[in-house]
Amino acid sequence: MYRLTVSFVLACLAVLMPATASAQDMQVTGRVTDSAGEPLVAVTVYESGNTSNGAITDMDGKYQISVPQSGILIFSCLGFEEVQESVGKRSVINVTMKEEQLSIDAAEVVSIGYGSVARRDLTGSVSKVDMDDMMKTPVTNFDQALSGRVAGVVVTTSDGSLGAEANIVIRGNNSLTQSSAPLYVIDGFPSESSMALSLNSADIESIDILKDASATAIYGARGANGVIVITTKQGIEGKPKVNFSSSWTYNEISNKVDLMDAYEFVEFQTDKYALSGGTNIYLEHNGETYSLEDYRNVRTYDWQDRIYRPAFVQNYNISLSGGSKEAGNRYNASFSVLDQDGIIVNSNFQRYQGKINFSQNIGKKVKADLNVNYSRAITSGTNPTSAQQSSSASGWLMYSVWGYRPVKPIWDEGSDDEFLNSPFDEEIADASDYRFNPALSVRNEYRKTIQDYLNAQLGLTWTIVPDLVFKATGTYTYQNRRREEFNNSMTYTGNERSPSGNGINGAIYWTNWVTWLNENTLTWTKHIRRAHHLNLLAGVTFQGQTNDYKGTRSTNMTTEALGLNGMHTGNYQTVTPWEYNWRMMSGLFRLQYNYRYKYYLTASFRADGSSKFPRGNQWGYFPSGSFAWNFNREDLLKDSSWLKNGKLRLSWGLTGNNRTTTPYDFYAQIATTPGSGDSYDYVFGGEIVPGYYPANMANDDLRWETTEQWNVGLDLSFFEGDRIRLTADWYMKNTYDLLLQATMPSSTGYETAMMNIGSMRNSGVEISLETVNISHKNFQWTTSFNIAFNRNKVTALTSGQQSLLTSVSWEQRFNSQYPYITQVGKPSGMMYGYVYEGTYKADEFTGNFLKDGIPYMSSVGKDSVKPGDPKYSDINGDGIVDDNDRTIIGCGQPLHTGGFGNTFTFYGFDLNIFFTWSYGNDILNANRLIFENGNLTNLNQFATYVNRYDSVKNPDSDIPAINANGMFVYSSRVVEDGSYLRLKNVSLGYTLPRRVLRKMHFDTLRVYVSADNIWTWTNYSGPDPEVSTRSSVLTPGFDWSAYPRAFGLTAGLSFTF
Amino acid sequence: MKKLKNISASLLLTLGAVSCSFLDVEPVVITDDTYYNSEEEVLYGLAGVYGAINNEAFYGNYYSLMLSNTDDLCYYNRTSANNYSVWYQHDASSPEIYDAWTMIYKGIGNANSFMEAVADSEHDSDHKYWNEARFIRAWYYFILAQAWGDVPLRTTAATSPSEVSCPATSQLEVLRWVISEMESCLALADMDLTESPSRVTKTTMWGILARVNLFTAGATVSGNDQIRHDCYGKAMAYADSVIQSGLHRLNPSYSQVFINMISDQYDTEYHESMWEADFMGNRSSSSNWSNGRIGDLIGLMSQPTGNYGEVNCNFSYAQYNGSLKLWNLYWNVDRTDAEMSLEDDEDPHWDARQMWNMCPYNYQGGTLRQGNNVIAEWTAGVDKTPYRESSRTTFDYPTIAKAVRNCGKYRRETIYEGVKGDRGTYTPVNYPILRYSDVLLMYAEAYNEYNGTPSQQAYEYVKEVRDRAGISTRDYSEYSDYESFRDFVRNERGRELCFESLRKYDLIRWGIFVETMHGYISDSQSTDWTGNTSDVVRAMASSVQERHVVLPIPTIELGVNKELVQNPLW
Repeated sequence: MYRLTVSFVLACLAVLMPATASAQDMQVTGRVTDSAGEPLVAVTVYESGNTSNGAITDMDGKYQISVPQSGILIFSCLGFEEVQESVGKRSVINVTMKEEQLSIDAAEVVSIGYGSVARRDLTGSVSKVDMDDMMKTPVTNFDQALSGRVAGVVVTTSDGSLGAEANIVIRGNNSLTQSSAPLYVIDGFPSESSMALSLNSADIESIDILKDASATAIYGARGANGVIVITTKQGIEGKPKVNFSSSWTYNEISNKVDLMDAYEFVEFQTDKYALSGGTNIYLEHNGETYSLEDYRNVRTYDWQDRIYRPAFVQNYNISLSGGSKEAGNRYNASFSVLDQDGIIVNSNFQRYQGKINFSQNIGKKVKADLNVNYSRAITSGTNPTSAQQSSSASGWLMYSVWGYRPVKPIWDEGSDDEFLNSPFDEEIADASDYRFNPALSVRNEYRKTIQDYLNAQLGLTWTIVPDLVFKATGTYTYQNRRREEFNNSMTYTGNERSPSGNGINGAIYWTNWVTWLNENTLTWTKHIRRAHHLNLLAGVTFQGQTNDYKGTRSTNMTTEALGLNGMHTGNYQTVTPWEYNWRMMSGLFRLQYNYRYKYYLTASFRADGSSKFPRGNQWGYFPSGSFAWNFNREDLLKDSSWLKNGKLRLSWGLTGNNRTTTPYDFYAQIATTPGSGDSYDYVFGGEIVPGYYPANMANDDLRWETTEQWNVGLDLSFFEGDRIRLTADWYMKNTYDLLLQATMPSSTGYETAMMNIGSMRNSGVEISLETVNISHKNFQWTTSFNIAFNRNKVTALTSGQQSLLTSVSWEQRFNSQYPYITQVGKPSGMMYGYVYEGTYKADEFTGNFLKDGIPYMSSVGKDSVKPGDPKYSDINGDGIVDDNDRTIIGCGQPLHTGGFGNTFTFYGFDLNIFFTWSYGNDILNANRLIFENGNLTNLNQFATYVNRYDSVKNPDSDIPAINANGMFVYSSRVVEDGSYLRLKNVSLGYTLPRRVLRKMHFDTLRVYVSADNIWTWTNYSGPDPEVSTRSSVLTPGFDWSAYPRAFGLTAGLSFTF
Repeated sequence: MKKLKNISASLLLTLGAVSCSFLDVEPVVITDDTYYNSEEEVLYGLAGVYGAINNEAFYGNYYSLMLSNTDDLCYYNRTSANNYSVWYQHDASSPEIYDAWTMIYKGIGNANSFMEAVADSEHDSDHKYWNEARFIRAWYYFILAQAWGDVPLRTTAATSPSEVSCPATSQLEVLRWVISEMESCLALADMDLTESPSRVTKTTMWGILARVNLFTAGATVSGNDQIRHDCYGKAMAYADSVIQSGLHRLNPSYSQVFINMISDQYDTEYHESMWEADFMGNRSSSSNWSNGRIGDLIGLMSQPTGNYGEVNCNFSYAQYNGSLKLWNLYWNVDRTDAEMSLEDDEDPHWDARQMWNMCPYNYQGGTLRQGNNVIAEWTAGVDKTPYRESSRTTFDYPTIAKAVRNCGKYRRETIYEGVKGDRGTYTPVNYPILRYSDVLLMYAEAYNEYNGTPSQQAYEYVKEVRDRAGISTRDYSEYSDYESFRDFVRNERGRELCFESLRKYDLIRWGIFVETMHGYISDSQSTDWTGNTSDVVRAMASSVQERHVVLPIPTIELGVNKELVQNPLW
């Protein structure tokens, strides 16, 4: 027992024991302080060569020990350099200990879930986000700013929509039909949503991304998609500090689409009338005729200009932090306001948010932490990515914006304003091509989503003995989302001519989430001499959630004067409500051990019980193990001047996923769905009788989805000051018992069922490199680079099923086709359709008829094919192109993605240049299916369509002719390379020198300017290659009616005093 | 250390104690073991069994129109289509085929679950609900076997997602099973017509049994002569049972039968309509919800542009027309010499059914010009708009535009539909499943087939149908041999039952589907076929092949039902 006292931290126990001193020794006392003169507590003081004789410093840093005069005292304390003092005749020996100079790896603390470690001691694959770099420029939501920052973390925003949460995928998609989003742990609170709308990025202290199974297995059940650990800022003891930052941004559309101008459009229409017949409304009117040349210099109306605007963003954050040692408390309170106008007229995002983190010591052993965050986020305005109705392309905003006529007929004597404000294009609007004035849509449609979010957390930390800590937290979150819609008579659906027949209409929908969490952990830390370091964690957690949805909708209101408050004047419509409840309980255990910081072993085990599975399958068990070797600490390399850090990591583990579609998927259910397309209501004797029917099969076998992951990693840093740091990881993930909304043979009476079926593999390599290129006192240049390769492969689907076809709903001519296929042995969500070979040319015809032996589409028919029609490959060689000739035409998943940043500091200036890229992914540019089509009368087209096939003017063109047959199919004609390199951000800041600030009583003051989305290098013809309007695992890279991305210019300022 | 032990011990205790009950969350759904606790709930379950009929994928549109209403008398009139089955250019992955298949099987699944749940229920002690569901299930299987041929026959509810594969049963076996199931239902069935024609009664069952037997006796079903003979006998007997019941009569007005369906009225006097897909509401509110497109996709073209208060015909795309052959069937086939010699425009020449089914106008709107002068103008949705051939209109020349007229059977004229200005595309218009005139014609046909010769009585039944149409009939002597009577009945079925999703299956069971469809190729070249639809029907008819007597099994089903193979013709 006594021997233990020499081990330096546990040794405080020894204080309780009287030291035995012999008579010939002399009493030595003294005080141990750090370099700042503060007393050091629990420093071990012992006699060299006689470890049984030792003492420990008390609260004032004082010690007392009996030693022979010839003895040497050794002062030892973790984190400080060891000090040796010869006793001699001194009876008082005061010592100042110097902090150990740590490499970045030893100093940088990384969250690992239920605890944190120095990077040096990490055995798993965890990436820390460089918050300094990220916060150099203002970000509305932290998730979007992660893009390109961390290897293997793919952040996609479906488009430029305001207030949308980004879609983050770590190391590839694990799931097919269910969400692949990581687990977010925000101040210890696990959530399947990033809550990015509700968090103020200025409040974030750190973001750590747990990638391999060793790191994520502690979240076992829900860790399979990776874990993002977010820690918010806590107070720091000291005098109150005020931190203020604000920024002002100017945004404008970064890339408009080139459309046909007035002349080109009339020429196109004239050609079209010549083919289709009918009266050319541009050239003939009331018996008068006009010529095409009359349109040579008329005004072109670009409707994009009517809906886009320069938009301003204002962002203000203020925080107060501090703490008192005497009172034993620390606090950080912040408040932020964001007001962001979107570049589409009438769209806006606002957030009001406040947060308090407060901690208080209660006695010497107990500490209480209280964190409260409240936010309200309001998104308003028309969103091009949500349709008025998805059965027709005309239900989407951009259809009208791009397609609306760019020209007023020359005979039209109405004013420009009349033309611009007429709700319809009178010449064409019929029920099947209902084209509503987009400028009126965006100005009159009322759309508002209000999200309230409250998170309150109370934690108690009880240091039972110095190395044994018990921690209990209770968290309650409440989230409410209210969605409001109102369509007056000047809107797409509210107008009396709308085919929806809804008249003036409106709706309110509410979604609520109430979640509670209780976590209890016990941590035991033990260091045995300087050799063995042990950390044990055990805990139990409980969590529950109630999630419900309600709403009301009203159509054909008799007044529009009251807005939504006139709902009672219309007909109420069905909104099907639901409520979901689930609970989880878990036991967790983790062991971390290292020997002399050289050999590391981590093992964890978590057992999770979830109410989403039937009894017997509720529990899942998730073990993991990892090993790391800091080989730079081996004798051979210990004093190497070039290798500062070298670590090899190896890990294995199982993680889980319980994301069923509803928590009740395993129950056999009876349902009724009145007022819907799926209704089974029937009429008995003139009365509607509600139809109740079996809606779901029982699945007693439903269980956890499991992912097994291997990871090998290497961390290297070279030269003094860690001039070059390299991290490389290889991983392989096999996900099996996939939770899949599996297709059933519908002869069972069910189309789908939630099942554990199929498997998937993701493997890849991630490399990040950080270099300090120049490091002078007044000039530094650092570079960071990361790249990730991921290969995704579906290894099995529903029993024996070889492929899974997925359709996308956006336009009725396409809704029944399948542009995506997921096949066993290939990556998920491959693009699927015909291979486009160009247009049929005149020499392929004899007279008006296609020559024999040249394939033609069965749906067109041999007799109807004409020059200028699209020609598709006859893959199976049977002479006709039909369903059997569809094949894989593109891949939505990139070969690699990454980011590249450079930071220069020069005196007080800092310059940051940041690029991101994605390489090897394809985009299905559905916009071109409509806007390089030429089949729709009076619909404007992309400027590229000017070069269409024309038997006389342009007989070699591979852009199909006007009225071409076979245009309404998915083909490689519209699949494009979506690779891009984007100069995402450049910022230039200036921090005032300290001496100036001191006079002004400021601690820091920085001003900066920055620019976003500056330039993109891409071959993609659409407005933006970073697009995926149907962002799901099965339908990647679909581009239809996206919210355009903005170019932004920001000026900002931040200071602390 | 002791503290540690205490803490961990208490934690473990807590964990053990709560784990069982803590994870058992009461679901906020109706689980299947908690339903059917009252007669009302049993009735709701039965509605769920019938309810599949009203889905858009079944009688609301896909099955009734897209998959069954393109035949020699009714064609799809557009030059582009989203669903290729209307042109016989579909394949196994055509969504309308999958959706219809799925919806019919969902109806069967509902019936299986319902029957198992109420089999021993105190709330259905006399098994009436159970019996009705059993009949509907058998009828669903009839529809499947008729359209797809060999299909999986599941007579118990699927209870586990891991046991889902099921091989096909041959078409003949399915049909024989259907007949025996339906016959077993007769004992418990009622004659009471109170809720007819929305619910089936004993007479409906007889009538449907006659239809199933006729199809089973048909050319494409693999039975032998004995089976065919027996089936014709049964068909005759069941049709006769309906006739002898005396509960059903022909409504003196042919059009009134359909006006009742349009206006959601039940004919309580004649009960000619014996079973209808009963749609109600037009989606004006959730309590007024319909999934039927009848009258909208098949009706008189009417696309008003704003003046909804004044419209005389509610919104309709009107995608289906009557063919030249249908025109001729009315106009000069089986007509008496006396009527044939009448001038075109004189009333007696007109078959009342032609006036209704091949309406001389729609509500498309338009302008009639002569040179630069506007002679007449019609407002879309408001004015009856005649069909035109250059400057002649069907108002003045009622026999022009023979082959381009919209199907008038389910017109959404507001005087019938009751609601004015409905812009919606979902309608309250009902769709006939079984009519008494069909029963009369089935009797006549079955008698002729069973006996190899007609009878005076059989002739009288056909004549009864013709008399109601207001046309005279040649003497029995002209139809008294097997073949001429057979053709007479076949033509009469066309005239009486066109646009009712029956004709295609009639042609199939008569073994003349492909050759008859190819008749369009010459018809469309006739000078009587004016307008731009002739190319469309010619392309459609050229696509028809032998394989089209059945639909392909949907690709999705084949992909996951490992024991199923594609129809040999596909």
